[in-house]
Amino acid sequence: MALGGEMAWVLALAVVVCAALALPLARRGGRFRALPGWVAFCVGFAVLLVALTRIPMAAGLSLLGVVMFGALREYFFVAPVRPRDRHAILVCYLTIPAVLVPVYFDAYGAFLAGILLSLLLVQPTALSLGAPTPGLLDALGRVLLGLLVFVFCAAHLGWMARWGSGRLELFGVLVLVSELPQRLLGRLRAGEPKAGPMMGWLLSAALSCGVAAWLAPGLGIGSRHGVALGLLVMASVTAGRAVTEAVSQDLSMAPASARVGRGALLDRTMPAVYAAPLFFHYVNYLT
Amino acid sequence: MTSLRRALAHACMVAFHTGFVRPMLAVLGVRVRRRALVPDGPCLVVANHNSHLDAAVLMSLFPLRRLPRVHPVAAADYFGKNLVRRTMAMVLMNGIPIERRPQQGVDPLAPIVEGMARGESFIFFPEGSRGEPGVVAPFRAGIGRLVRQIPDLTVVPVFLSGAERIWPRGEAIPVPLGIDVSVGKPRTYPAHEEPPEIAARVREDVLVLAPPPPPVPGPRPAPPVRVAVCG
Repeated sequence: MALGGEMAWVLALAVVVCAALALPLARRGGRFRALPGWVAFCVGFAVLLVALTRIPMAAGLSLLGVVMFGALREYFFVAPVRPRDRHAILVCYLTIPAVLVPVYFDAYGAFLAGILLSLLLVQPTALSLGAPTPGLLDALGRVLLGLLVFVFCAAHLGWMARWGSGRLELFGVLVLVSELPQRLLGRLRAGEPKAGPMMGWLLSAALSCGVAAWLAPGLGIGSRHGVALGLLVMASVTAGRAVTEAVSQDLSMAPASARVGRGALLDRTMPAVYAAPLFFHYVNYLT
Repeated sequence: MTSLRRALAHACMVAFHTGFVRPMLAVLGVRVRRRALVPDGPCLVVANHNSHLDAAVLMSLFPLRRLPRVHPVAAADYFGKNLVRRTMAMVLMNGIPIERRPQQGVDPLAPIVEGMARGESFIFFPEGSRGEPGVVAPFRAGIGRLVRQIPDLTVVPVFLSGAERIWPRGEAIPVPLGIDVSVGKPRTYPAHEEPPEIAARVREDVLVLAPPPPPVPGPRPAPPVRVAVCG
C-alpha cells in the first residue's frame, strides 16, 4: 500500500497517542512535570513537518527559517556568550538564510560550504578578534553547538521537505516513538522500583524499528532498511538527549524531566533535530 | 499643544508601537511573567536600566489603548540633544523630559506629580542612567521624593534581564537574544521615611525579582570547601 499523503494522519495519530500516554502522568508532578510542554512541542513539530511538505517551498523554508531563528535565540539566552561575542551571534543568525537558500535551489554543495565555512572559519575568527578575554574556548563551543544543532541539523528538515509528502512525516513519527518511552520512564507508583534508562532505550528501539518496518515499505523503502532507519533515528534521538542533558548540567539548569520555561526548549528541540541529518542521508543513500 | 496636534501625536505613537515596536520586541524575544499584576489604574513602573530597549519593553506591559496615558521618563539632557532624539523620545515614545541636573529651585519631578494627579502612569528608572550590564546601581533618591509627594503612590517593581545583552551601552546594533520581564506585586511605600531609605527599599523589591544569572563563558569560581566541625 503506497503511503504519502496518509502519513500526515499517521503522524497526527502518533501525537495523539503520545498525548494520551503522557498527559495523565503529568498530574504526578516531579519528573513528569514537563510532559505537557513536551506534548505541546510534539503538536508544533508535527504541524511544522506537515506544513513543510504541503505549502510552497519558499513559504515552507521561510517558516523553517523563523523557527530556526527562534530556537537559536532561545539557546543563546540560556547559554550566553561573552558580551564582546555579540557579533558572532549575529553571524549565526545570518547563517540561517545562507543555508536555506541552497536548500531552495537544491544545491547541497553550497549548503555544506555555507555551514562549514561558518562553523570552521568565520565563527572562530569572529570570536578571536579583539583583545583576549577569558572564556574564548567556552564561548566558541557554545556558538558552534548552537550552529550545529539549530542551523545545520534543523536545515535538513528543509532538505527532507523536498521529498514531498510521506518521508518527512515518517521522520516525525520515528522521533516521537523514540522519545516517548525515554520520557515516560520513571517510578509509576510510589514504592515501586524505578525502571532504568536501559529499558527506555530498548523500548524506544523496539517501537522505532517496529513502526519503521511497518510504514517504510509504503514509502518505497524496504522493511530491512526500515528497521535500520528506526534504529538510526532511535540512536540519534538518544544521543541528542544525552547531549542536551550534558549541556543543561553545564549550564546549571534544572533536571530535564522537570524543566519548564526557556530552558525547556532545549530539552524538546535538540533531540528532535539531532536525528535529521542521519535520517536524510540514509534515505538519500537508499534512493 | 492643541488637541488636534495631541491627537495626531498620539496616533503616530500608537501606530509606531503597533507597526514597529511590538513586532521588534517579538523578534527580540520578550517574555513577561505576571503581566496581570500591572494595575488598570495609574501607577509608577520602576525597573533596572541597562539599555535603550527598557522603555519600549516596559511600555509593552500596557495595552495599546492605554499608551497615550503612559509616559516613560526620559533624560532631557540626553534625549533633548537633537530633533531626532526629541521626536523619538517625546513623540513616538510619549516620554516626559526630566532634567537630571535641574536649576536651583526647580523640582524636576513636578511633571510626574502633575501627571499622576491626572491619572496617568509613568515608567521610571531610579538608577538615573543606563548602568553596566548585569549591575543594578544604587537607586537615587528621586523615587523616594516621588513617594513622599504623591499620596499612596502605587509602585510596580519590575526586573528586566537580557536587554543589556541585546543592546548594551556603547553598541550600535541590537542582537536578538531574548528578554525576560518579571513583574512584581504593586505596592505602596511609607511616606514618612527618608527618600534614600525609600529608594533602597524599592531597589530591594526590584532585585528580589531577578532570576539567577546563567553561567557565562570563562573560569568559574571553585565551590566552597566544606569542613565538618565536631564537638
